[in-house]
Amino acid sequence: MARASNATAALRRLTLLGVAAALCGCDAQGWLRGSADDPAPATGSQRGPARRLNPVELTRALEAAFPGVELPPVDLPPDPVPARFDNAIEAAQPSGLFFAAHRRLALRASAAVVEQARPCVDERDGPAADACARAFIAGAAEQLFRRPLTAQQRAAYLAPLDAYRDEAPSERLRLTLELVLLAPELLYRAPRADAEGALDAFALATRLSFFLWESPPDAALRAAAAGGALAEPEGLARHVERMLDDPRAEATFVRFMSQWLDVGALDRTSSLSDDLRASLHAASRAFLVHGLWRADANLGALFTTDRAWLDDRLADRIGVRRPDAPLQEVRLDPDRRGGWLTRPTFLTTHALPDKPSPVQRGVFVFDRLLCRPFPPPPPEAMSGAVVPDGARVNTNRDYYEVTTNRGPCAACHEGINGAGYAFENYDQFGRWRDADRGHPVDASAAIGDANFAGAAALSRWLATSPAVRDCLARHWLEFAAGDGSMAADDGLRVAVADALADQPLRRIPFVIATHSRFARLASPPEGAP
Amino acid sequence: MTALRRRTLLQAAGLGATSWFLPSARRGRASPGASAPPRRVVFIGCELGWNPFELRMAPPGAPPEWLMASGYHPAYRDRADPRTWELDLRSAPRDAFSSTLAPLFELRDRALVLDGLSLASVAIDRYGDGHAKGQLHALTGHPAALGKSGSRSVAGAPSADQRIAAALRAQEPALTDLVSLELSLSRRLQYAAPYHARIYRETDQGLIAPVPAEARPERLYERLFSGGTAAGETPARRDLLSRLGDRYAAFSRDLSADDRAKLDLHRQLIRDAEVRLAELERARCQAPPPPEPTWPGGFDDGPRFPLEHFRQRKDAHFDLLTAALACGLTRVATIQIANDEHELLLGTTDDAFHEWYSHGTDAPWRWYGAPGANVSETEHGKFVEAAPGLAAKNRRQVEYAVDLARRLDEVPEGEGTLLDHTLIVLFEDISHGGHGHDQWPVVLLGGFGGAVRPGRYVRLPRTLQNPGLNGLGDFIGVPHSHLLVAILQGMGLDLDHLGVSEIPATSDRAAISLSGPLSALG
Repeated sequence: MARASNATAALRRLTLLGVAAALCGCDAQGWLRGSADDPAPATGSQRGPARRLNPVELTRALEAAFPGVELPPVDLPPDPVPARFDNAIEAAQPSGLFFAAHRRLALRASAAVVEQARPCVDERDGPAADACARAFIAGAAEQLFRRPLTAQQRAAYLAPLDAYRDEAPSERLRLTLELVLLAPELLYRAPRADAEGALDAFALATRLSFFLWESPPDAALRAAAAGGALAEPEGLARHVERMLDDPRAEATFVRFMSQWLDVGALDRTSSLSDDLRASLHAASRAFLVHGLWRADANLGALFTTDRAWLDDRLADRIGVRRPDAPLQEVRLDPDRRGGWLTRPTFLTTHALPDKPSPVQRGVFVFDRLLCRPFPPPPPEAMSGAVVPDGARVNTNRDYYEVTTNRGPCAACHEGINGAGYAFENYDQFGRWRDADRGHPVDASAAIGDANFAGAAALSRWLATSPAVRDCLARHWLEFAAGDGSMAADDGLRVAVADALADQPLRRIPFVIATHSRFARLASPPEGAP
Repeated sequence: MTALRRRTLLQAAGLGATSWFLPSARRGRASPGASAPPRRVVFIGCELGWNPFELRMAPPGAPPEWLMASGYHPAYRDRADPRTWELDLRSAPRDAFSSTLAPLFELRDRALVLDGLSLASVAIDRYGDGHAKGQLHALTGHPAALGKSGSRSVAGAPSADQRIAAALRAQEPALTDLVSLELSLSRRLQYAAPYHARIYRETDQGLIAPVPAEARPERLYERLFSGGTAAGETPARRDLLSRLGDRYAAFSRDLSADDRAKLDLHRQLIRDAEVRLAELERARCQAPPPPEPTWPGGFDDGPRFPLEHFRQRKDAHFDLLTAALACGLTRVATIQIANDEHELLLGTTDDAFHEWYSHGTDAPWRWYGAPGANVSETEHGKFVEAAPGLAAKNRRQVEYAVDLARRLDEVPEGEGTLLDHTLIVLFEDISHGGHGHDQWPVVLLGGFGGAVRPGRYVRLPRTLQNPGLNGLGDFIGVPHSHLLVAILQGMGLDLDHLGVSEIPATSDRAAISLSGPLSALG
């Protein structure tokens, strides 16, 4: 009787943990049992590239596994970001600093779980305590590893429970959990696929969940994977719809768009006060959440909407009427303030401390929005712009024209500045100006044969540009895959670009996730059925 | 004041006893004698350039034109300058030191200033802006492998510190990844700059990957003295690492070769941690007390920190580095310094500092009115106003190097001190405000186990035809690659060049050799 009550208490504590829920919910589907032996890799089966979870993904994995536990922050050294997105496969290389930080995290997180959730604490030593500990570790491992354990994994990850008999039960449990938290199966995603390149159900569930939520699969998705539901288009679509309705999809959208639009430049711009930086972050987030995601807005709205979210500080900074609330939606003059490119975040982060930079603004348009990056400047271009003797420099535009229109600079700057001059009506703070140092502003600009009078006109052109749709499709697919493999699939990229022409942005993840290529390791060879 | 003060450290580390080193600290190949302590090297990389006019020193009574050739005077734009000179700093009076180098006076018999080097290998690099190239070439001597979005680039070869670390580990299996330390004195700077990196290692699959630097002293302490964690290490936790290594082996079995290499590196790091724990168990070099700032919340509270934060961070890093070098855990370190302190002192921001104090001090702008100078009055005025700020920054950086040297000099080792067996190398990413790479000064401190002859200021000739370095005329100084070769040879590496071996000849210019050590060092 005492044993039964202890077991009940232990189970009650375990249910504090997502792992216990996973354990109980999935046992019927065979999650806990694992295979009798580690299967040899099937002939011709494949593993995808090993991608390390980034700090956001790791945080969410731990939070999902141990809800209710106050976990230590995932404080890992930043990876260099060679690509646009922080989930890029090439970004995450191991280093001594990383391993030390990961080990510190595992130690502290395992201690937090054992101390706060107190799993199996009511079990006395003996078979029931052993069973409880083993069930706890196995449940945690299966959830964190995102697929059922093989027999070999089970043996390896439960072994410390037997090996460290000299330790107190709670310490034994903590050490064993520490091993799970350090495991490669948690830290790395390396999807399994069959000989034809089709992902197995758990790999597909994992890819889907990290793409839509930057989190591991939840219990429903794991159950769908185990039950085969994801193999059917309808079943897959149902789960994608369900996941897109979840707040985590919105959070992922914001992180994707923020990286594409380089909102992170705010943190690299040292001329901002902390308060102002925080205001700009909040306004940017509100723009993406309320202006795009929750508004069911399409790509055009990104460039043309008159909706903005400002606080007093930002309103003062760009010279518009102060809002009544700390952060409030306001409507701006669409002829002056149409879309993202006329908002203070973009304009501030693409400026020098003392003047706006048509070069930085133009490079952004070509690089981020049109996917047409310019080559790096030649060495002789980097010594600082020199104004030639006798040159007439009245305005910022004059300065850039006379310092970049000569020698090796001219070839690229004709294009870069051609777009960047469209923003000359905005100073380095994003404030509108009709005159620059007492002279009229000239914001006439051009990209190829298209001419614009100012940023609003340029933005309207971008809003309907097929090149922008193709470019955003590339970026979204890079974000989905962690590399360029999906973006290189013409069929998928065209499907996404087409959808961007007439569907809301929040629909695009559905288009990607339900495309046949999404469930494959690589594109089928040309001519394959 | 940090909690970890030198005296505490020295007591804790057993100063005065003969047992300074962990068992792993075997004698380095480069050591002059079988019983001599191993050599160490510490690179200190700064950014945004020098004000050459406040740095350069010439013999007493030298005509002003001696300073002009290397001061970017228009008269020397198309002329070689073969003049060299060597000043004996040991006998130089205090007022003979330039304002930037004045902090060296205190350690003048241990200082060696090289005036007139060039980052010549930059000339054959297509990628990155002036900062990216300088940061990348300073320690690699090799062009970038690729560029990233204009100003960025990624190295094409590992940096000197990582080459040294890899070679030492190959020679001495007991050494771990702590054989090299990468530190940042700037909270926000884990690479050389948001887009640039200075430290690169070569992975097993031949990938050149940037190495992050540790900015938090408390984390550095944990890595050095607690096996990577703050908690006590038990035999069970060592066993756990062994099990983890096995899991990595099993997990990577059916991965691609590239992925296996990546996972193998991870596994190696696990193995390193295991070895460190084993070494710590046998260590006779006691861990010092952990560093603590005088405010609550650790070294990282607040997005921007007041001046005192920077200084306490520096003190703690320098103390821990001294301990790591003294205990034989570390043989090579790279310290990155951004401009936090200078920004705070000058009341400016990083971006503004760059724009005003660096771009504003394009050295040729000093020569307004000189025949042939293409300098406007505005440019000259900007130079006059900004140059003192850049010089003040330079002087503080020299003070940092002296500060570290002093700490090393307080640690007895062999017949002398730790500084006698160490070489501190202070450098910038660019030469001057014009963001060029010729006339690139380097300040050295330490005896390097007899491999350098300190106590000198050495002016090098400027006679090599310019292979394409930015905007400073037809001739350049001695390639810094020779300095890197000398340092690596001093650390026991058997090599003749680092990065590229020469800049190929063209129809109107001879080839420039980047091979062989710098003779001016010894």
